[in-house]
Amino acid sequence: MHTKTADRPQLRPGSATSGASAPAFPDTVAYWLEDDLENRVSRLFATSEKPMRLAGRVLENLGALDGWTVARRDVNGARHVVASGPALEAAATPFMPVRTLAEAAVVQRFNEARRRDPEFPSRAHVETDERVY
Amino acid sequence: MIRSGESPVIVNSGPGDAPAAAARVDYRRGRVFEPTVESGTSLPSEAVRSADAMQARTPCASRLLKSTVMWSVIVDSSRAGSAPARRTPSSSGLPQRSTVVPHEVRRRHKRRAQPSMVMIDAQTVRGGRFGPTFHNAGGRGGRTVGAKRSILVEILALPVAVRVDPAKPHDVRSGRDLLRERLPDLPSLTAIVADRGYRGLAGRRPSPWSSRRAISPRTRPAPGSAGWSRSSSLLGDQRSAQPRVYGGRVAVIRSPRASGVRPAWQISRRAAAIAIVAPVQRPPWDPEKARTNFDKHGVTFEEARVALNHPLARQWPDPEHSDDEDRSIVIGLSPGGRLLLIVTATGVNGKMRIISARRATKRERHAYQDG
Repeated sequence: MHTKTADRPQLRPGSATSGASAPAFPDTVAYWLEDDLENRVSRLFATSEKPMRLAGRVLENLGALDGWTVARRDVNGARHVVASGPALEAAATPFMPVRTLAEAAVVQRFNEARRRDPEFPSRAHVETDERVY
Repeated sequence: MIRSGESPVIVNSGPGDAPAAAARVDYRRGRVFEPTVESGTSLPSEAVRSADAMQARTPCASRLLKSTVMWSVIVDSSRAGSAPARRTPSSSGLPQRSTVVPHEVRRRHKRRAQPSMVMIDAQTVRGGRFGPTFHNAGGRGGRTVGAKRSILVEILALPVAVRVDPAKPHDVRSGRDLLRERLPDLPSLTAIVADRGYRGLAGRRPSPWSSRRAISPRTRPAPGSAGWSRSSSLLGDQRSAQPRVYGGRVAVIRSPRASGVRPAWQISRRAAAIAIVAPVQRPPWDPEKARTNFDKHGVTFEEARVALNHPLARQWPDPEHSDDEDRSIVIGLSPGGRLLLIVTATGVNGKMRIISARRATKRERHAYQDG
């Protein structure tokens, strides 16, 4: 039966099926993602897997991670860089969204069309939530 | 020469420049220093040097010149009413040199490396107009001598490009040459602000389609109305001819006429005080659909466009709802922090259009945040 709710697209939640393990540091309080203007654009996470997935998403959207950083804060409040720039690209590649071949072709055409938009990319929303998720 | 207590502002110092030397040109308000250049390098002509010296004393905060310029122009900030100096003299009394890169300045101001909007204007550098009357000069019996500088300035008043021409040709001609030179280096440029003297900058007449949205004179809002409305996008608002207010004048941005990777440029022929050159590019949506979507969901397609281009946007192909084009579902953050779900379609011609946009549901929000 077709209903408004039933016809809604079913969005699959993401999953890191590559089996890659995110870097972990024992004395870390929070991990987050920063854009090329050094703004924090993600929430604070207790593990680095979520920021890496977000970095993988940005990598798929932009094609590069120049200036982007996954950072962490230790128990003393000091900020450390987990990975940045090309190193982050390499680290985030296993965390990119998993696509089938057909999906990958569609996404590629979509990204090519989107990158032709002179408004692309828009600036990321600066995250101000201080809670650790 | 720098007097004690005066602090110079470093206008430019390109990499590889020789240390500053003492050759000086004293102007009424600013002082210009010409450093010694490396041996074997020829200085530009006197006219060009004077042009750049004059640039340093314009009200425009000219802190940078083209990197290809082989000399530096250093001017103090002792102009009447100018801002305090930003640099201090070195112990030798000569200004300290520094390398200031435009995109680094823009980055410090949280802007993209490439400007999206520039302003163009021209100024007579030397000489002037002569004739029966000043205002008629250049016309019957008049003549124009000297040099003219056309300059592109971005929003932070950093000069983007400078060109020196004889003063005789019209500003539009020099401006057109300047744009022709520099547009390939400015891929993000979406608008050029110019005064009405630059009518015809694009070099062709507006098409009948676009002339419907030409810049129009200001009209008073109707009694009881909400007042002035504001256009939501520089690229044109498809819903109606809503005005943008610039300096007490109203300019309606011309709607994009055709799509294309390399936008053509167009300028209003009826601008009252200021004209906007907008890229001739159609927004990727149907204006009627945008209006109904706003009525239904309270989301404009302009807002959806920003969310669509968000670097953290998440996308899902949606092959079930279309056979002849690629459908995609995108969830992205809008500038106001709203999480929007946008449905787009990419045709076989590679062009994408927005079909609908609404606020994401709780389940969709979780799917977005899941990574």
